[in-house]
Amino acid sequence: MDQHPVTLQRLLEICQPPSTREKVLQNAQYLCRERPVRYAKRVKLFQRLPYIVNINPHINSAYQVYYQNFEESKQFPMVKSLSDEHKFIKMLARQSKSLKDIMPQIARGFYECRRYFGNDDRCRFLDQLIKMRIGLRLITSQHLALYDQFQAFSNGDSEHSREGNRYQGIVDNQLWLANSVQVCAQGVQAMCDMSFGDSPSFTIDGQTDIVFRYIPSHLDYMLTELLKNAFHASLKMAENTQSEIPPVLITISKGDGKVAVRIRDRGGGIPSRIHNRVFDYSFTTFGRNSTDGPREETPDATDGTTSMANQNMVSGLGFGLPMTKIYAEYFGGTLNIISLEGYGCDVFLELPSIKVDRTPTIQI
Amino acid sequence: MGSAQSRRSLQQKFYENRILDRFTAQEPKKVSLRQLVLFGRQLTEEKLLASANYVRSELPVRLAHRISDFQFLPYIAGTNPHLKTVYDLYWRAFDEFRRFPVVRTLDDNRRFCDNVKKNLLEHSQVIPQLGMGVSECADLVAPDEIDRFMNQMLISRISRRTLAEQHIALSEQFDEDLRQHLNLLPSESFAKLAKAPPGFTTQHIGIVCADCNVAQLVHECALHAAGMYEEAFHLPPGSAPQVLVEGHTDATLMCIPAHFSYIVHELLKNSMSHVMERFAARLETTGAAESESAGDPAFPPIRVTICASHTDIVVRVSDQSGGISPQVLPYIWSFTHPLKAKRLHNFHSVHRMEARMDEGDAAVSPLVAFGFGLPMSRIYANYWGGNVNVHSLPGHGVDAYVQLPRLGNAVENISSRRYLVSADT
Repeated sequence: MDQHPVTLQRLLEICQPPSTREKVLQNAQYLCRERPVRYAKRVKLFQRLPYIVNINPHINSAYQVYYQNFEESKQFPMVKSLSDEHKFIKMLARQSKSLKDIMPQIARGFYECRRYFGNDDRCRFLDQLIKMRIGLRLITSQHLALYDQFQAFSNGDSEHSREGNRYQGIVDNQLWLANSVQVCAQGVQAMCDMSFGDSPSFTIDGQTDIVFRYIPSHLDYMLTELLKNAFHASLKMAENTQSEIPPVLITISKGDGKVAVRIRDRGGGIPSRIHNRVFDYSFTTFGRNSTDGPREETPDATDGTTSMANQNMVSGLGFGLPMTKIYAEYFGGTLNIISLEGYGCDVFLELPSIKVDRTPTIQI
Repeated sequence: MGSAQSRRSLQQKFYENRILDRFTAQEPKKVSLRQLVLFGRQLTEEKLLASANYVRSELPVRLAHRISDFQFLPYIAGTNPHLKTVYDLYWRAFDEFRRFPVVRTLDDNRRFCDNVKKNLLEHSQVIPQLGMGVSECADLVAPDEIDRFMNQMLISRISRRTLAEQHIALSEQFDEDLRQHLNLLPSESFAKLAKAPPGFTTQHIGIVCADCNVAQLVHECALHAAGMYEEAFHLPPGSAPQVLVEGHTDATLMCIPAHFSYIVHELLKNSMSHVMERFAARLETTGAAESESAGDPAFPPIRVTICASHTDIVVRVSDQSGGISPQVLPYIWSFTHPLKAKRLHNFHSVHRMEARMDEGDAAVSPLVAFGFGLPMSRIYANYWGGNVNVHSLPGHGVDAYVQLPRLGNAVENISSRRYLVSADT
C-alpha cells in the first residue's frame, strides 16, 4: 500500500482558522488511514536489514516498537466523533512517547553491529528512517495543533485565535531569525558552562530584523546542533593553545527568497582525514573506556530539545550533523561546511521561507 | 573552401597527422615545485643543458595532446576562424620544437631560449582567440564539452608556459652569474661565454619561490587592484574598499608567485567591484573626500583571512557585496554561459592577453570584464593540486576560498589526450 503524501500546501491549510469539528474529524480520519501505512514502511525497512543486524537486541527492540505501533494504529477504529478523537489523541501521545529515545537505541545497535553493517549501508538506512520520522511527526504535530486550536476556539479562547494568524499549527509565519539564534546560542552557552565551566562569547550581525516562515522546532534543532559544534571546537582550541576562547561570529542575511545563517568559528577546523565523512553517521566515543557505547544526542523532533539524559552533552561528530542536514534539506534548504584546517570552520545554512505557491511539489 | 587544390591540401593534412600521433602516444613527464627547486639549487652547465632538452622534448608532447583535442572537436567548431588560428599556431610551434636540434652548448641554449621567447610572444593572442572562438560556437557545441575543452587547453597552456618561463629564467640567471664570475662587461661578446669553467655552479630557482609570504602577497595584490579601480573610476587614492588581512600572517608556502597573485588579484577585483557597485550611492552622496576626512570609510572592508595547516594554505576573501544572484550563480565557473557570451565579444577589442596580474594597466581596462577571471583562477589553483570555491550569502556578501598545497609535493595536474589510440594502427 502506498502512502498518500500530504503536500506542504495541505499541511498549512489544515490549520487555517476556523478550526471546525469537521476539519478535526476529517484530518483525524486521514491520519487513521495514513499512519499504519507509514509505520508499515518503516517496519519493512527494518525487515530488509541483514538478519544478524536485526537480531541485535537494541535494533530488535526498536523494530518491535515500530511493529507494535503499526499494529495499534492499524487496529484503531476509524474516528467518527469527538470522543473517538479524544481517544485518538491519547494514542498519538502514547506512541510519540514510545519513540522518544529510539534514536540513541538504534545508534547503539549499529555501533554493536559495525562489523556487519558498513558505513554506506548505515547512512542509507538512517537517511531514509529519519526522513520518514520527520514526515510522520510533521503530520502528527500539525493534527495535534489543529486539535488544540479547535479546543481553544470552542472554549471561546479569543487570545488563542488572535495568535492564529501568526501560527499555522507548527508553522510560524513570522519567525524572527535573529531571536532564534540568540536563544539557541544562549542555550548552548549554558550547556557549555555546565559541562566545561566556561563558554565562548558570540556576536550576531547582518540583517538582524529578518522574519520568515518556518517551523520553529526544526530551526531550533539545527541551530543548536551547529552552534554546539562551533562552541565545542572553540573551547577545545582554547584548551589546546592555552589561550582566550575565540568568539563565534554569526551573520544573518536574506535574499532571493531564502534566509541564510553563517556561523564562523576559530576552533581549528576539521582535520582533512575526516572532512569527507563529516555528514556520515559516526560515533562520538567508541567505548574505549567504558562499555556504555556511544553517547548521542537525542533530538526530540517535536520540540527540538534534547531529552534529559543527554542534555548536558556537547559532542562533536555523531548523528547531529547528518540529521541537521536532512532537516535543512527537507523543505529545500542547504547546509554547507567549509573547513579551514588549522584555523576554523565556516558553516552556511540556507533555508527557504516556506512559501506554499513556490513549493507545491514538496511532499511530506 | 571551394577549390580542388585547397581540398587536396586539407586531405593531405590527415596523413601528415601520423607525425602527431607519435607524440600523442607519449605521456607528458610531469614535475613538482619541489623538483624545480631542488634542480635549481645546484645549477651547473650540464644541468642547464639537461633542462633545455627536457623543455625541448616536453613542449611538443604537450602541444600534441592539445592539438589533438582540437581535432576531436566537432568539425563545425574546428572550422571556426578563431579556433583555427590557435590550431595553426599550435601546429607551427609543435613542428618547430620537434625539429629543434639537441641542445649541446650554452650557445645552443641561448638560441633555444630566443626561440621559446618568440613563441611565448606569438602565443599571447591565444586566450583572446580562444575566447572569441568559443563564444561563436556556443550554440554549436554543448556547454559541458566547451568547458572541458577550455579547461584542458588552459591548464596545459599554463604548464607549457611555466616550463618555458622557468627554463628561460634559469638560463638568464645562469648567464648573469657567469658574466659576473668571469668579470665580463655587458658589452663583451658572447663568445667568451661559450663554455662555463668546470665546477661552476649557481643557485637559482627561477620563477618559483620556496617561502612566499602569503600576507605580503595579498597586500601587494590589494594595492594593485585598488590602484586599478581608483584610476579607472577617477577616484582619489584610498577610496577603494579597504582590504584587511588577518589570521596566520606569518604563513609561507612554496609556489609560483605570479600564479598565486593572479588568483588573489582576481578575487579581490571581484570583491572590490561588486562592493563599490552595491554601495555606489555612498560615493555620490557623501563624496569620497568628505568621508575620508570623517575617518569613516565609504565601503565596508574586504576581510582576507589566511589559514595555514601543515600541508595547506587557505585564503578566505570575505566581502559584503550583497551576494551572487541566483541567475548567475550556476554559471560562474563556466566559460560559455549565454550571459557571458555577450561579454566574450569584448575579446575583439583585446589582442593580447597572458592572464597575468600585471596586465591590468597595460592592455586591458577593468571596465572590460570578460567573465573569465573565476574559471581562470580555478585553473591556476587546480594546476598545482589546489582549488578555488565560492559561497554566497544572499543579501549580504560572498566568501571565496583559495586552497593551495604548501609543501610543493604535488605534481602538475595536467591530463593527456582523452581518447587513447592503440599503437599498432
